[in-house]
Amino acid sequence: MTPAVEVRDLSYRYPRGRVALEGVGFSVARGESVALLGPNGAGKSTLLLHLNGLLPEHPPREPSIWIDGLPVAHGSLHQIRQKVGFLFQDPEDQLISATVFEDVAFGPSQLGVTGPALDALVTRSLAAVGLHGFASRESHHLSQGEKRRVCLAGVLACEPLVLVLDEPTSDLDPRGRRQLKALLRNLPVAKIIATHDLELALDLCSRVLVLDEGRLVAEGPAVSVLSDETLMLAHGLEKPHSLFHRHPHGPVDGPA
Amino acid sequence: MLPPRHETAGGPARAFPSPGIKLAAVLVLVGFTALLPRQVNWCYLVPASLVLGAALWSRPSLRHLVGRLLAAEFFILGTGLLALFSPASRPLFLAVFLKSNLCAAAMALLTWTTPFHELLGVLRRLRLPGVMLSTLALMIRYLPLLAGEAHRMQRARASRTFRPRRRIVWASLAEIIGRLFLRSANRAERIYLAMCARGWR
Repeated sequence: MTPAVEVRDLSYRYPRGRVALEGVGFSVARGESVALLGPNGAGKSTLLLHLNGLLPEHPPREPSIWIDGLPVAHGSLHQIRQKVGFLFQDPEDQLISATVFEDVAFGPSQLGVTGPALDALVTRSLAAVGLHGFASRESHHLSQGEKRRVCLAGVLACEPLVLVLDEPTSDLDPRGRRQLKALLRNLPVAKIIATHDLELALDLCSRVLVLDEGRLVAEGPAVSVLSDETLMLAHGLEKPHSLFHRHPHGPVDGPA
Repeated sequence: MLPPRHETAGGPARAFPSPGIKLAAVLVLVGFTALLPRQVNWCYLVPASLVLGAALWSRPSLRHLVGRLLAAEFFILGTGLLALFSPASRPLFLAVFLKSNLCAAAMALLTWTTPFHELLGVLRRLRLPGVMLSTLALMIRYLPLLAGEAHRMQRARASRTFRPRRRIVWASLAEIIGRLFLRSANRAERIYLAMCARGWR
């Protein structure tokens, strides 16, 4: 079966010369959740931008990335962006419209969806993130957690095959974090989550990729990679607390 | 300066169904006011009473009304400078002053009673250029964010024992504006990427 994401020997150098990615390769199966870990400046966000065709500005002739078998190339960017939903780190960057409805409708309307079909899609996407009845709310009056969920609804409205998330829990309070985690857990699409939240990686992802200085330094099942304290410390990370102390009543995260 | 919370603002006028009719009424009022004679006379009572009536009906917050009028006042008073050099144009200045304030008050009442996105919807239906409407929409979305950022920078400056002295205040204000510009440019780039990620072409 064609993997949802396939990356082969991906390298990228910033225009000012710094190497951001070097020989990165991995694949993600359909419906699989993979965490992308690494210290600040490791190249995580740069890698995610490549998956959506946002970097490099002019895609090379020889592709290094395939989404559902489709190469990320100049001629296929529109289809690639429909297949790959990108949740940016700062919801303020992604929430561009004055109202929730307009924002969630932005992506599908770019894909040509209009009229009652668009209304139904927006309603369905908002319901999927637990924001039923928020359509007429103004974007700048939402809480941070609500903004994040509206962004997710906007991404889901494009019905992507792969969800790419850049630090999805970075500015959320524990309740918002718990709600987002429950939401993500129930989404049936493939997910690549770049995060410093190691508990999130452990909870949601079956597999972990560790990136440092633009290179893929480790890859494997989440529990075994995250339990390797020497590896974690060597790359600016740490072993998650829950792997030191098992909670007596099972997983800490209950329903949202 | 945050846009008004339209969930609660606007009084009975908020329930008025059509933003298109409100916009058309304000444009007619502005046109009528602009065409009034140069000499101030009783005709001025017509737009003045209409604006007053609309204000009593929609019950705007004083802060909203005065804030918007003050923002326009710099431009209105600018025309008064001309009157200093030409005594003959003083009556004209009075007419311009009254007309401009009436029009500004009418627009302030419109923004009080109508969410900006509804006005944008009307302008979109009128087929105004898409680039202009997108620019307006992004401006209204990101102005509060920019104001918040400026406020946070000022607070950070104050927390580091900043004492306002005339020369330093100007230098530091210039620095804040410069940094805000850079941050806005960076944010604009991120917004552009986020739009592209959702298929914007």
